[in-house]
Amino acid sequence: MANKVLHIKNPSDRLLDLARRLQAEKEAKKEALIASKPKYFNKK
Amino acid sequence: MSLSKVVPLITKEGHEYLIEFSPNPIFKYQGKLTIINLVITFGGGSSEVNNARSLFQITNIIKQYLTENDVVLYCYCDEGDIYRSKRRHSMPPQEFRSNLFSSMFEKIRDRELINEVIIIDDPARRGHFIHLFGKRANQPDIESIKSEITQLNEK
Repeated sequence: MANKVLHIKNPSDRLLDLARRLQAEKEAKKEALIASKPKYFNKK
Repeated sequence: MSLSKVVPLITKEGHEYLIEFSPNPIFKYQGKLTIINLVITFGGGSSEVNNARSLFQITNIIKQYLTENDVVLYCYCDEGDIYRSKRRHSMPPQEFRSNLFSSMFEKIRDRELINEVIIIDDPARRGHFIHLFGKRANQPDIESIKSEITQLNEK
């Protein structure tokens, strides 16, 4: 499967804001998932 | 059927992963498909160790989700520590993750799926890498999302 790449080299402030919000969202979701780990993996 | 889903995965090596699919409120675009946030977490150890078999299992879970749901997936490649060889150690973790994603999808060789990458330069964060995955039939929606992003850059 070919990968197409859109590379934005000089992003506007608005676009940087979007990217950083996506980053913050990702980090929050990862933390929440890791915290919920016992729900999915039962250790005996 | 709910589009939100968490899939736990334990690899043969005993590594635990959680793969979450959830609707995303951040992206806005004009198309009809729901945009789903794909988050993959490694649940054990201080940094992830990946092998081809684990990556193949993860890719198959993503592929199955796309088979069952007509959506566009996006995955933001984060900066969290991830094992890299000495040769790749200077590469930012997010770029390494992005390369891993692309390799994973190339290996499954499914012509019905597409993987498109958006790279946004940001000297403060060493770059942002975002993958859009979906069925080839939905390429117009993926193009529409990319177009919205490009327009944000022009305003």
